[in-house]
Amino acid sequence: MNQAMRPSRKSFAMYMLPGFFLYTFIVFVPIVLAFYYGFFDWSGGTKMTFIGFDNFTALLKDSVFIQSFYNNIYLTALCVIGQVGIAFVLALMLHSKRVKLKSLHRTMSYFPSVLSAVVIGFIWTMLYDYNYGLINIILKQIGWGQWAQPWLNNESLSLTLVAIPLIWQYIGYYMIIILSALSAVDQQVLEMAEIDGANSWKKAVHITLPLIKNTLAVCVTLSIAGTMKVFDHIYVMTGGGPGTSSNVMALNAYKTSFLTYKMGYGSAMSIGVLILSLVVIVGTRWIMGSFTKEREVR
Amino acid sequence: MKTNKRLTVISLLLVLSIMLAACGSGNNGPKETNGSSGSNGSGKKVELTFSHYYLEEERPTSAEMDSYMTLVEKWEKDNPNVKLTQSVMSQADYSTKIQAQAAVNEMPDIFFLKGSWVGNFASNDLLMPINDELDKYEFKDKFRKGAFDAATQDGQIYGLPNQLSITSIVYYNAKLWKDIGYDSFPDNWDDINKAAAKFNEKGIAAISLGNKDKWPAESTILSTMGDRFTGADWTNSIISRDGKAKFTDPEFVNALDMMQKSTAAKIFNPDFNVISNAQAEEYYAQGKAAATIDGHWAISYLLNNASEDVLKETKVAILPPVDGGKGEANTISGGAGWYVAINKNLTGEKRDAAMDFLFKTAGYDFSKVYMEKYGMAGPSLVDGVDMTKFPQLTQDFASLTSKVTFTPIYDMLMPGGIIETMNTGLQEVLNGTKTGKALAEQLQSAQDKL
Repeated sequence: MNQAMRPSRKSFAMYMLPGFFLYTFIVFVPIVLAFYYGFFDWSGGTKMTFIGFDNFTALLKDSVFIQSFYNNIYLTALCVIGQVGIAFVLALMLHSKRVKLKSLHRTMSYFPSVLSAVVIGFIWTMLYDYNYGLINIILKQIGWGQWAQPWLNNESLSLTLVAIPLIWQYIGYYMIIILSALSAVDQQVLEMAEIDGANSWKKAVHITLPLIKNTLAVCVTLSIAGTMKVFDHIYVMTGGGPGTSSNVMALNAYKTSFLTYKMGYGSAMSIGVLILSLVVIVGTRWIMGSFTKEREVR
Repeated sequence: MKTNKRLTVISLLLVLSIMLAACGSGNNGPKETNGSSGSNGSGKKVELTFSHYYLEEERPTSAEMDSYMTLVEKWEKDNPNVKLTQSVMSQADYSTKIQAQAAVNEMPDIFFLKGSWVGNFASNDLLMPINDELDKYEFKDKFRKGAFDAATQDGQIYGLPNQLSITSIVYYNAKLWKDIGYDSFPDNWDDINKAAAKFNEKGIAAISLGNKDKWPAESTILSTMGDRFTGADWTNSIISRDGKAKFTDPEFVNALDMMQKSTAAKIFNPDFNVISNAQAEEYYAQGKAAATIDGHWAISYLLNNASEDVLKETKVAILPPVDGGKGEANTISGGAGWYVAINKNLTGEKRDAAMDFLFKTAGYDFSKVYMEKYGMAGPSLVDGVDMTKFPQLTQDFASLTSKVTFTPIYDMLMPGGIIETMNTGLQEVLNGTKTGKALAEQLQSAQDKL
């Protein structure tokens, strides 16, 4: 930015102030409070008993919480591959010269992102429905009626089935981000590669991918952060069930606090969710960083 | 540069001071309102907040709600000096919100109270005991036996019942059962299993169940089936936590195994774990199931929504007895489970008004309207109502329930943690992915931790 246009540090600080203020109250203070409540045996209400780290140690031995963590990891893996992967492929297709009606495609694929999670949950619950669901109807039509089943009652599949709407909803969102990165790639580089005889696959892997890898890293991070805290889709579709088969950490923390009235333990659990999510995000960033280091241009 | 640094420090300090100020006022806020609650000058309007889950749009299909709200409206009219501010949401949302309000000690003045919350709320000192007023209540003797069981903690009574829950009635379509050779709903489980096979051939379910929200299988089936196996003494011992009864007792495990076996025999619709209780009612009302096991609330639903053919053929029955069960055969899980309660912090005029509201809308007054207008049984006994003016289904229901003994409803009386474990595990037991024994052990270890 031009030095003359740059605001003074004072105005900078003033501009930051409202955002900083809001963030502190909406995000930072609740986290600190949850951490504080985690040290208490508290069922909601006025009576709180300090119990030190008991809640946190109990968390490490809580098989339901550990299972829900694994469920989160499985969901995250599916969603990163599904959301960012498919978005990348679609973005490349939309970016190519041969596609017609680009803006229509762009709008249509972004559309699910503007719907609320509850609506998405209901739509997909209907698709999976035993009697009227589109999936079962199609299966019966093509003669595979024996595969028709109450889908969300299948404990070994339920987690994958709730991942599909999550992936479907956010493809458009990541596609837009990747598209904007793609349009920043210098066309001349690609044209030169074409002259040298590179096909589309080679162009995508050896030129486009390295050039937008920072954007992809942001997408992966956003996708992980979004999936680690996922709640509403699953709450609407299965409520974590059948049993605990599609239970995730956030849902588990909610149930602990509001259905079993263990507010202290629930708070400790949400701190656990925060720490585990941070570990996963930092871990993947580190892996991505070391993976791409050798090819670093700068 | 130096000035810039100083400015940064100053602005940061400013932010900090604003934060602290806001924190301070945040902490003081509720206390101030609490302090002023008793100091309403005379002549001023008394203001009361009232939280409940009776949504206006559900009124036409809920006899219970219509009866209660009729009394609320009447009370408002009779007490123009009181401004009653109602906060209404769905029952699930309400349950969440009231827990959150309890956590920060900001309870509404008057609110609906579920039996299983009483222990927790009372130990946190959030509820006003009503013993003194109840002793003076002219209809005190009219209450059904055990109407206050769920609202009592250490001898203190914390609410007045405003409904009678009867959670386990078999509603069956007599014609469909007759078609396959049964004159009435079978009185043993073998026949139900055999009938299920015949119904499945016809493409309908013997019994519709909608257990997506996890409570129906436990509240409407297990509460009664468990009692058939264990007897009410066992249930009461579990509720009072005297250590005599254990979830791992063979009787209770047998009840869970029986649930699993019946499900394996395909007596329910295949999607029992993914549809809601309302959808299960719909299956029955549309003739897609030959029976449904549901609570008293299904009466209103069926009268309003069932097709003429189904309604005409609908009869009521109770769950059949089981082989070798310790419980009596003539019981249904039922009792008062919801109460209207008052915030502990109310004083003076506000307290008096709230107390008056309580006794004018719940208890006997409610039971009277509910019985006279809809022919349905409330928490108090109401005599001398001519039942013949009500629909046949209502009459059948009334005569059935007058002949049975009520046994405790699990989810009204057991603590939330136990119920959550039971409901979640029951989904797996029904699916056949968890054994009854494994769930029983889980429940007992949760019970031991209480």
